[in-house]
Amino acid sequence: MMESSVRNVLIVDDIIDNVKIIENLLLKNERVNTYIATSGEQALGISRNICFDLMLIDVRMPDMDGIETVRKLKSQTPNKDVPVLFLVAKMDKDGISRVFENGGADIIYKPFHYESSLARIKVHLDAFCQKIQLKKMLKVRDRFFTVLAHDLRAPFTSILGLSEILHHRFDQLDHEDRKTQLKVLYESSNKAFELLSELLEWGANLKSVMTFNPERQNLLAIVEECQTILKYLLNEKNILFETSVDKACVVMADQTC
Amino acid sequence: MNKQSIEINTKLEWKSEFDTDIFRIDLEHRIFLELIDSFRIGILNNYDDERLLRMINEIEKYQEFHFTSEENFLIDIEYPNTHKHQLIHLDLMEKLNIERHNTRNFNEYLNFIYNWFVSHTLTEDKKISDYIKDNKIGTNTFKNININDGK
Ligand SMILES: [Fe+2]
Repeated sequence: MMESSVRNVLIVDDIIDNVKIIENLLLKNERVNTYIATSGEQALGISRNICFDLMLIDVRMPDMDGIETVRKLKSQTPNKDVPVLFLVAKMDKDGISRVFENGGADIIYKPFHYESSLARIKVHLDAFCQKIQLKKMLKVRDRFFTVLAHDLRAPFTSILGLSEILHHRFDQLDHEDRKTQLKVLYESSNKAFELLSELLEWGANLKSVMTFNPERQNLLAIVEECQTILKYLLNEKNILFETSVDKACVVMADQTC
Repeated sequence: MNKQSIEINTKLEWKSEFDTDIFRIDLEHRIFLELIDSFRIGILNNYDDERLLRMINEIEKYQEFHFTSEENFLIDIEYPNTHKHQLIHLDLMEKLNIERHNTRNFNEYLNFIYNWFVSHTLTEDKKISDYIKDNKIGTNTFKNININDGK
């Protein structure tokens, strides 16, 4: 899904050799940009404008320890929700318990074991990237529903308006008027139904987008169609309606939208 | 402390200066030295990389065990610098970790781990031994071990 993108990983350890070991392991096996620091202060400095996909932080560091560093990284840089893997010595029982109390997603144990370290890193990198992807898809879905509601409202407005006129003033309308209004009513219902069918099909196939098939259309014809639909509703409210569209004007549009 | 370069053909012998006179600690140190010496023999006999890496694993595991039992012992005798000693152990484990990944060959690792063992026993563990003597603390743990039992 996001396989092709390069991920940003932060590595912090007061011992530069540790940083290098992890960095080499990552660069050899993953598509990542690495950002390295040997103190909490330094880590904060380079993190202000960078969004990471994963942060690997040593727990035991002089001055600002790993826990404090993470607290500040999460509150002072744009990395609030980024998973943190703490680097902890296997013997460091105190460090291990503090890690999970302080929001660590997982632990990379020292001495480093290449395969298991890499596997843990991969799991959290992938999970975080999928989470971001999911958030984006939810946003698209929300926008889609807004557009859809808007599209459905148009035919229903004319269906409601026309049926209201037919219902209340049936006797005042001549035969021709009734015929035209019923025709428009039918067409509007049809349009709404088409839209719903397409939506159902989209739901069944779980397609990420609705089809959009633009065709050459005469703009005046579309406007005149709208005019027919609206004529009776506008008359009802004493609104004058005028059009001035060039006969030759052609637009690219999808008839069902 | 001068670093000694190991003569690959010569067995790594126990030296009296390694003695802490705490039975259990000396016992574990002797085992550790034996593990290092087995590694020397492995290199000498051209064991393949996979087998030598397994031996390094064993050394690391044993070291973890030894540090844990040493820390437990320090807590039991109410050693005043237990926490500091623990931190030194963590640092030593860090060094061991880095060396494992950074050494270019097994010979280099062998030299590192031997010197690491010597410095660890001769400095920090000697302080434990002094504390025990100064405070006349009796230590009987493991004293009844006799590996010839049942023979
Ligand atoms: Fe020791």
